[in-house]
Amino acid sequence: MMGHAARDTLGLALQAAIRWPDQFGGVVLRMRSGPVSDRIRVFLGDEFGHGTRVHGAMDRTALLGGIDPIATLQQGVLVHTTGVLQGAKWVHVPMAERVPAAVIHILTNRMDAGNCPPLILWDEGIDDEAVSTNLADRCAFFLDLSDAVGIDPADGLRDIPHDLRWAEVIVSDAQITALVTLAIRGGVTSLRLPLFAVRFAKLLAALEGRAQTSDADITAAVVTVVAPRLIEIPSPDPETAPPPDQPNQADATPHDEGAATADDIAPLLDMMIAAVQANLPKNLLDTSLGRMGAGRGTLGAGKRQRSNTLGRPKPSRVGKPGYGKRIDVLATLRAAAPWQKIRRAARPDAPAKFIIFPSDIHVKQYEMPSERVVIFGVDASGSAALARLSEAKGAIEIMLADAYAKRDYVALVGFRGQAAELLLPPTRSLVMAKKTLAGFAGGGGTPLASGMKCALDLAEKSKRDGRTPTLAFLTDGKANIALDGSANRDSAMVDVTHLAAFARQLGVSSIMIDVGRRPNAALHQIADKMGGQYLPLPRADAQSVSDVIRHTMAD
Amino acid sequence: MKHVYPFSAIVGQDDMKLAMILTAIDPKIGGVLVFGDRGTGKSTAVRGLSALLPKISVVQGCPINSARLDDVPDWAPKLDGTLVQVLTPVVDLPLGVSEDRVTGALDIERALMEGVKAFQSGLLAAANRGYLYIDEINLLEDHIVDLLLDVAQSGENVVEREGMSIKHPAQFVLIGSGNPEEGDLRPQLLDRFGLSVDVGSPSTVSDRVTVIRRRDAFDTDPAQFCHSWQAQEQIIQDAITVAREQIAFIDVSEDVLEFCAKLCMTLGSDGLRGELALLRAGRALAAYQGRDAVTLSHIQQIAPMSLSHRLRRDPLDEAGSGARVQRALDAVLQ
Repeated sequence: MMGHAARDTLGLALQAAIRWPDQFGGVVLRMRSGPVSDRIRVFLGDEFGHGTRVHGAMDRTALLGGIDPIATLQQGVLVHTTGVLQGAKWVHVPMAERVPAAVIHILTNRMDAGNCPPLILWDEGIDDEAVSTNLADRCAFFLDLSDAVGIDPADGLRDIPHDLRWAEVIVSDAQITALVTLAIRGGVTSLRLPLFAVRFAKLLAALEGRAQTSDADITAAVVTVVAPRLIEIPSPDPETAPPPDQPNQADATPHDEGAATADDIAPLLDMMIAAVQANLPKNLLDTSLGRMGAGRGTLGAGKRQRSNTLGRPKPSRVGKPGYGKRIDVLATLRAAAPWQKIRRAARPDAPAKFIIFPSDIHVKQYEMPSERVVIFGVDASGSAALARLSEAKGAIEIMLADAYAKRDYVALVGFRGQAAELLLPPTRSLVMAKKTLAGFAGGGGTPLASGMKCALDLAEKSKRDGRTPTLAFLTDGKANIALDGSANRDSAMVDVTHLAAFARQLGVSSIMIDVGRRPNAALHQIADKMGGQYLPLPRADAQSVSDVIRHTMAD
Repeated sequence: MKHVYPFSAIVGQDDMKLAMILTAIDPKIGGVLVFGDRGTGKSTAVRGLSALLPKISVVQGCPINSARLDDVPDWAPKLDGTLVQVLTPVVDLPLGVSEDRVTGALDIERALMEGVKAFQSGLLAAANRGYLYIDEINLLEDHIVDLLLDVAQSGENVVEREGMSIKHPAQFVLIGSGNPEEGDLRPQLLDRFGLSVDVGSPSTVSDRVTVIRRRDAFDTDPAQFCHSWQAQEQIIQDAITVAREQIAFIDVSEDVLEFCAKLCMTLGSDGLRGELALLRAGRALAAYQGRDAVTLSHIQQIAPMSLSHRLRRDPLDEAGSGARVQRALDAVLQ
């Protein structure tokens, strides 16, 4: 169940973003392709004219324009191409969650410079895939329409007078303070969103002919702009509120404005919190909105890095073919094209129509094949003492500490209680890892099968992304929870054996570190089945664990 | 003219602002690395700085912003030597940029149309005497990073291709920004930056309200907003101008030198870059504050930003490198 805020404001959000791109940036529409998205697409065309499409494979010239050397050579006159971002009324980006970093960077740069057409981003991500935070953060509107049925975008449309001026509408200190406080309590650190909300509230007030925003305006703006990006539910409980305001320490300045006091804003803040809660999905707490939100902050990054390895070509470079490098014919021709006139003048009798020199030859670039992912599967059950967990954490941090030199990624799957959980998606960031690891506690049963499955899924995915996964399990091997979650030692072992065979098929190198007090013969067998190493390491400390893994990977 | 958000109107972020001012006083300090959250005013600060700095005098039309007609490279179009006052250049280096665009390459238009081998300058030329700003430097491709470091070190851009041999000065202050959650920088690269600061979004409600108030005021009436900050801007500009003149006369005592050496030894930072950065930044700070000598307190103030990125990483030290510098400071001071 989605709150109705998203569908009610769709029309106005599109209008605002397309009319004032410098103020609102754009709209992120999180939904899969389907009849609803088709209807919105048609509506956009009808209402705002033809929009230009941007896709991830576009390069700088395609986006921003430039000289087309080959066409120029052919026609003998200078041929300029127009970039899709130039002069477009509005731009839409299908599958925005897969757009590579270079394109995102061009878009965000233009947005910051205030000369980007309004963006309509279709975020078709599943689960934790999402449009880059850098981009989403610059769009005032993020509408989750994934559950919307029978929506009519024309419903929310407003009659906006041509000469509507909303910039001068006044927003009170109490309103801004309440807005900022709510954002902080909801875990939204970016300041762009509250600013967007202020602008949207002004627009709402101006539409009603008010010179000052009402509390209802600012609340509606919060619901539309800020609520969809909240990471946690803001609570009215003052105990969880941030520490009381310190006096404003900004230097004496012409525009010194104080924040309103906590008492001043209490009623408005309560009103906002109530409105936000009424518009959140009912199952917020048990679905992973909290986690999704937290993940979103980092996802952009993971995705960006991944998109490099997904097989999207990197820019070609000058080089020699051979040793597995392939010639990029088009890039080579492009490089040679501008020289033709000069070279022809130097060698009027050359037989070739098109003179190519060795220095023109470009080779395709692929991501370094040495990019590896170490996937840790860590047993955090009651039986594998908690100390193991901290050693595993230490090992991960040590491995990450020199990951930048080796281009290694590290991921962590934790298993305890009923099932496994992917705690740390592949990352090279020590900061990220530390944050995640700090909050991981142990206890409960040993769902080894589930842990192996989760790790194997990730290994398979990593392979698809062009990386080489290595599995490292730290467990005492006392599997007692089956894949289906039942506490049955026998079927748990059957599942584990199946998965071990699957790991072998997958051809993933693995290492099983037995952290039990005494070596476990069953675990040794499983390791053999996986075609991996078995290592009893009853006193595993962080350094030796990472040494062992590094050694395995070097083989 | 498009208005730029005033540098002095940025709320908080004192370390970042100070680091940028110091490199404006003495570009030899090296670049500034700004690591932190999204939307914390990193790029606003760089652009604001350029608008705030005293204008520089350049030969009109010169691709490398030469100060005198004699310095205009011979590959540039013929110029009449008119001098104009312009803002200190700030050049953006986008991700996914090609090597050609960075270093400059064959002028495609002239080659195609006239069959002339001419050089079209790149971003490095445009950044000469100014700033080269790289957002998300941690995501930049390795070969571009290597190239930049090389040029930043030598102050000269060399392009050789098929009989084209071009050399031009490329002296700029590198400003890199990024989000540490999205990947780390190679230590070799970190070390090349003179200063490094962490920024976060303002933590208090009142600061955040101020940020939004000011930004909103700027959006509503940029001209009026900039005007009301003019006096603040002028104060910083004057201080920078004076500091640039005075920096050559700043005294550094043996005590201060010894303190710097001890501090670097305690921290085990590699090479002499750390000491040099401390000295240069300390001297620039003293000049900025209108003093005639560097004192220990100057060094203490700039030690974290000069050294925190030069330490070997200790993944098990939760406190972070800033705290380690502080500990070392305390230890050496005793």
